[in-house]
Amino acid sequence: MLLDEEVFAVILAVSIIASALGIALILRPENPEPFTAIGLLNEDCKIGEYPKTAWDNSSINLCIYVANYLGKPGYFKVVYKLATRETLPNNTTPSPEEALREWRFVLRDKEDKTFPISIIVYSIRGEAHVALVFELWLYDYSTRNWTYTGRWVHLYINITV
Amino acid sequence: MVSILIRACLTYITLVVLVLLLCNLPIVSTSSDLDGDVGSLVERASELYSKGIDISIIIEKLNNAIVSYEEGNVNESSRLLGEARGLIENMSTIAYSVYFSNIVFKAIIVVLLATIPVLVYTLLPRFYLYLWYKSKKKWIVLR
Repeated sequence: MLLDEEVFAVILAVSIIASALGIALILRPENPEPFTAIGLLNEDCKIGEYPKTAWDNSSINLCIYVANYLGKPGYFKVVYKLATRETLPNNTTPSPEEALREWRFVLRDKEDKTFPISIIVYSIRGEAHVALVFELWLYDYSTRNWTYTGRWVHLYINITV
Repeated sequence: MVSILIRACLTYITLVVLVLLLCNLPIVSTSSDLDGDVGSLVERASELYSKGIDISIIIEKLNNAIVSYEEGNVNESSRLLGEARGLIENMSTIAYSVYFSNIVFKAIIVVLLATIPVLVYTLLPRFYLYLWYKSKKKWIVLR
């Protein structure tokens, strides 16, 4: 049986598609959608079973997860604040409350970091229901200043006096 | 009387010059120094990364420097930052050659992939025929 023309056409089409796909994969941009991420985990560094209550001025253990997919290394800091429902951060503005603690680190591209933390919680302005807020900030080389990434996580907790 | 006046004027001018010089001296801040140093080194490491160089060791040094600084060990932090700076300087010298070789390697792969359909079009029928004749060369044709 000699090579059929239709079979040959199909083989040729498959080779053209495979070639085009291969070239597209090689020439595609490294990181088309750059993003950063922050997550809050429990003291075993797992999702769920978060503390719901805590004594006033006591410390609780949690874990923070941060990921860098900016397409380049970044100098990050996680800022811990105690806030109320009215002073929570949003996608553009950080919480106006004062920073109680910071953790700084450098992450490579496509690298994530999970680290345990021990933080102090207390009632603010007499509120028994406070939010533990963790904001992700990135160092901007051009302005030589920290900029808020718009990423944050929070956990409501009842303070027992 | 005149000499005393001149001497007083000279002393006054000297004092003014000294005050002006002191005002122009750079103010050294400690808290933002680390951020500025680490930030600029991360920026330079980022340039190396964009040229395809592995910067893991630099990032490790920078993280160790931050930890040392937070523990109050400023000398160790400065030493680590210096090491990171040295690594960046060394890597910068080979950055362009690595970038160029990566580009060449990519170009070769693209050219090879682009020639696959041409090779299939020109060589496949010949190769198939060659195999077909080879597999049947021992056949005997009977009348």
